[in-house]
Amino acid sequence: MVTIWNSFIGNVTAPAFIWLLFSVFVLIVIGLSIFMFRLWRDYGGQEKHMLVMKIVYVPVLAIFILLAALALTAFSFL
Amino acid sequence: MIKLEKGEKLIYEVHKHSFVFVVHTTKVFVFSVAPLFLVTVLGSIFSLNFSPKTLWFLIFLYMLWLVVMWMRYFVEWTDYYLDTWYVTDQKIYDVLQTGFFNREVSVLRYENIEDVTVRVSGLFPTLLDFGDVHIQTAGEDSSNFLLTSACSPKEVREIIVSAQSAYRDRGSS
Repeated sequence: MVTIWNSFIGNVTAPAFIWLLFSVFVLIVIGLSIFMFRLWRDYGGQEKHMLVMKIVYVPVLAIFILLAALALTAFSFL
Repeated sequence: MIKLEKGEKLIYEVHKHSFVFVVHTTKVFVFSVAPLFLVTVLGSIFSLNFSPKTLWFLIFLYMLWLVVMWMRYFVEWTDYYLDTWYVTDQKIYDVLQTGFFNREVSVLRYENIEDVTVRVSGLFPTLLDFGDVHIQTAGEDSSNFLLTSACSPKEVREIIVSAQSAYRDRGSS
């Protein structure tokens, strides 16, 4: 039992597995963001609001994802 | 924006008050900084000493948390902004947006409106002029239309009542 548990923990904390999960997470975030943009465009989003989405939402999201990738890179190399 | 019928004129758009959005913003902010607070407090209580590897992993998790919170914030904005009543000269469209995947559009004709009630309750709603607008409809399939925390609810009520009167006058003439 202990061996199985140790093996499981070893696998789920392996950098390759975390990178895989992170990639899936980023894909889901991108998909939902595109969906949110479409929702805004189709149902009442005015041009100024769309601009806010593009200028504020996307860059900040990109910065967070970039920082997460950097932290994961540092984690992988230590 | 919803698609109006030919010859139909938009009179008024009823949105929720921005106070609702301020509350959501505060909530998201508190949830965003909560992990930092938690780690600092727990670290000082239990004298936790993180290895560099663990620290980077925690930073990674925190960044993911911030991504989720940032998206949550914009979902709240979407909910707040797209949850609207469109008052036209012929009917009222009630658009209810809940999250990304739930959108309900109901149409209410003036001949079915029985009563429009306004409810302003509490300190902030009274000071900032927002409250609930409730429309009760007549008929066998009577249903209720409710917009919570609407801006200037009394003005909304007056606009709906006068639009209904104008509609009836047009119908009788």
